[in-house]
Amino acid sequence: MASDGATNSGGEQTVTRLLQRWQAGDGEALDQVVPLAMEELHTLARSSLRRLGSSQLQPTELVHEAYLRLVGLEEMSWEGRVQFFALASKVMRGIVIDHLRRHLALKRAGDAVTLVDFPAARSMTPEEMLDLDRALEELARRDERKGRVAEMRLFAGMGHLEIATALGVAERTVKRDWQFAKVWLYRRLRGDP
Amino acid sequence: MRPPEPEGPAAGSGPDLELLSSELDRLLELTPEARRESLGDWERRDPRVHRELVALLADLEAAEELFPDPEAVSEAAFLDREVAGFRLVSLLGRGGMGQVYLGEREGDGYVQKVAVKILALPWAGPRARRQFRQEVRILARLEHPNLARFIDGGVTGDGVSFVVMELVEGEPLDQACRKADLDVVLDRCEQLVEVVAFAHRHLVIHRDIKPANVMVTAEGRVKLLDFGISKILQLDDDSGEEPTRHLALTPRYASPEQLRGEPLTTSTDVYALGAVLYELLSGTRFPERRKPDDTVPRPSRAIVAESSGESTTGRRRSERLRGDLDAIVTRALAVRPDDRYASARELLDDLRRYRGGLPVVAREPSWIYLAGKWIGRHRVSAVLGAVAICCLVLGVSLAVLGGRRAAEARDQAVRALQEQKVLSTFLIDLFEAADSGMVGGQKATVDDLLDQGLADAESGLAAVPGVRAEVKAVLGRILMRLSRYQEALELLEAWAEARPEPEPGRLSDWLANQEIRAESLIHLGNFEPAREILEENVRRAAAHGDLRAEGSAYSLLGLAGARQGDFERAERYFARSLEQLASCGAEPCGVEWVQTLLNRGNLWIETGELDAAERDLLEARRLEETVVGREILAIGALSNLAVVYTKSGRLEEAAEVNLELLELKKDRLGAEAPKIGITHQNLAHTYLRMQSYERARFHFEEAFRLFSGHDDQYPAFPLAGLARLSLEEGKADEAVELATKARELLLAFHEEDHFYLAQVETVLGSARAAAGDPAEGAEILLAARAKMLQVFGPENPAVQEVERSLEVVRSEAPPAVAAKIEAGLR
Repeated sequence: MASDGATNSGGEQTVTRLLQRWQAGDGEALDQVVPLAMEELHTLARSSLRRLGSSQLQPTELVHEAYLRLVGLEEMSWEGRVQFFALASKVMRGIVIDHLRRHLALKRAGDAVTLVDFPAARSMTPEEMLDLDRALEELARRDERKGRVAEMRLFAGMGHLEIATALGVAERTVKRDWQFAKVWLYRRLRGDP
Repeated sequence: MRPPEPEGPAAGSGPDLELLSSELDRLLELTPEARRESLGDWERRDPRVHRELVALLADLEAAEELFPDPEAVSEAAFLDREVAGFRLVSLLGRGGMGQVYLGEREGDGYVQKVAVKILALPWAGPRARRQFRQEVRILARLEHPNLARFIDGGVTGDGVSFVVMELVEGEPLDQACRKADLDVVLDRCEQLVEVVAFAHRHLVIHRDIKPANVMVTAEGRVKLLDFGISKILQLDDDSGEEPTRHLALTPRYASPEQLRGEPLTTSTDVYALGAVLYELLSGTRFPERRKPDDTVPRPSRAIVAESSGESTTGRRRSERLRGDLDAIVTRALAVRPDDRYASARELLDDLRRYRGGLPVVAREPSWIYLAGKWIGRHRVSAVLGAVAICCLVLGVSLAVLGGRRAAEARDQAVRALQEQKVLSTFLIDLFEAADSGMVGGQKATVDDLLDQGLADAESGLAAVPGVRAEVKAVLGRILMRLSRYQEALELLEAWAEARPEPEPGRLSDWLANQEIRAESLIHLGNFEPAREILEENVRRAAAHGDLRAEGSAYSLLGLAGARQGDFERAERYFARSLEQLASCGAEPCGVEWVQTLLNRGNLWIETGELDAAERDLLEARRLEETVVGREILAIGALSNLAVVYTKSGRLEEAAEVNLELLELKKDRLGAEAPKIGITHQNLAHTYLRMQSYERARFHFEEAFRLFSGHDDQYPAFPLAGLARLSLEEGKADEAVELATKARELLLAFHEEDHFYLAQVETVLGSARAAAGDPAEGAEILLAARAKMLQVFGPENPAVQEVERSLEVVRSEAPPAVAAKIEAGLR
């Protein structure tokens, strides 16, 4: 079949099946999903930067687009979908940070990054983003779950219930974690000890 | 996933983050004074924790600005604003979906008060806004005394989504029922179920029924709030389309399939109604389930467990629940949607039967259940359609019973119920016999089952008046759905002979059977008798104000018109049908509505108005997803969309949809069902256009194989397709032979001048010319064009096709023939 972006049907099938296998307890399937998701997200990020003239990068939007392209409209279970986003949040974070590092190294005008897909959200400078990455690193070291919650929230735009499903904890816990994490991260970005 | 790194004395390690996090959460719930007090405690106990907490609290707002949450619209931010002409006067409450304000507007000497909901929606793209407005329009059409009316809705200039609703003052349903007498509670349950059934008839699903969404006014009227809002809340981002996930807004009352994130149907609301009834009747909280599939105890037991058998009121209530009410609630709460009441309407009917002292359906041995198990074991998926039809038949008659309340109708209702019982017992026997291998001592097939049913209808049921005829009608319906029109017609003719007039009070069943009879006739090409039946149906339905039956008869009249090539008449009938169905308030019209849209979509395909076709079919597809058990219709819409895509040159899309359909149909209908032939046929045409000849041939041949052996015109279509294929491959003689056969077959069903014949003749004429007889070919083509122009305009694709063919013949023909063609085209 044609290989144009919208109907990347070879990819759809594979990712869906692999995620199903993974859910069914086949750990190896995950190892196969990661490179596929990486590749797709990289491609999307590149084309998005080309399209928008490297002025704007919207990770959560890219993750949603990647989901549609890889999994498409095929019915996937709620858990499968959630696992995909949980995985993509990690991959996306890596892509964004790598990209910004390269650009800073080249001393080019930085790209703005808008993490949250919401009208009120402001975009962050590359320097802020790298600080955020380091702060997340530290948060995860001290409390791994809070680190993951923040990552999924910020880099895949996942909702409370989705994150709760991915982590197997109560939604209430996720709300609490996120409430805490955002103040904590904010304080780190501002340079508070 | 990455293993957790060892906890170390990393830089900046302070107090335990989990402790800070849960303290922060707790403090935020407190009043300012209590919070100050609590912080004071920490200052004494652990100054470091105190310092951290104070800092966290201080920066909370700034942090929320950097990482805003779409879910949380800040407190009372809209007070005193004007939205849709209403000033927001005070905050009435807030919940997961956003905030509710009291809105006021000065009228002519009075103040109109409404509830304005500000929805926490993260999207505001143009498509999502369009979809939002469309939903609001649908909801605003719903008017019912038990429904909080939808007044307005939209998105303000600065991107805030809102809905305006009737302001309901009263008490939440669970509170209002706490001390109430069981009869009062039952009356309120009935009002609630009735309004949900009303909305389902208009194809709107609530998705979040719970006691907190139901109010009881001072006059004792039940008012359901927030109908359809959960769908709006879950419209996804900028695509504006309904998402594949369907979050359960309130997990406690959510159905198992909702918790699993599966697509929702009306059955989801039936489950939630069951949960609400459970709470109201038993007076205990509906239990939380650990897993979606966990079942819950019977309501009568819940009372006993709660009151540990001490209180006498509790015991008395428990005794009244045991039996019928237990059975009704349990049926509504079945884990599998198929085991539940098929609709809120059926639940309502059973509640009313209980209150009227009639036997309830929930307690009868269910042949539907038995049939389901039988199918599960035998994997004869074709029967599925048949069972759905049986359900429909039974459901329709039960609805008739449920709707009648007057005392004089009681005797007749009981008699009808007995008849009903004989019928359902008959079906139980049938499935059991098949299951135990009594039919021919072998594993039963659908055919065996039907044959056995026919034999029983002839012999065993003679003693029960009326039932024999009804059984024939049921079996006739099944055969119709299996495309065995001739056999179906014979049974329905026998039924019609036994029932020349409807029994009092059972007109709608009678009309429905007449519809099936007419439909078989249409499929067999006997348009005139079909038309007579349908016109009679229209008369009777109109006389009794049965808008459903009237709309349905018009729909079939439209189908007959379309099949005969009288498109203008067909179009008028379809419009008439939709008009009747739109205004019918009391009967379930959803299915008929979808059916008419499908048929009209087909009409537009024939007339080449592909945009209109796509519009109708997409609408049909959108609607039928919300109607329980109408998968067959869903398949129909998808199938015809694929045709639209093929005809408008969107070949990749068409092939994809058709391949998907092929799998879907094989799974649902069985690999050999004739209806699968239609998809093979359509797919073959797509491939033909893509010039993928080998694939096209394979699918035409499959279509022919599946169609042949059935008494209708369908085998002619793959033959015509193969003729076209041979022609394109340069095998003109073969093309002539195939097209001639196709033409002969069609002649058994249609008049000489029918446009189907003209279409086959287009192939035949070209083939003749290519096979060395341009004069004959030209003549056939010119005649075909003339036939087509009787029904189509000159812009029609079929007309253009025949003109292109004529052009090809002309360019290679001897001068005499070319001149003739030029003259003919002028």
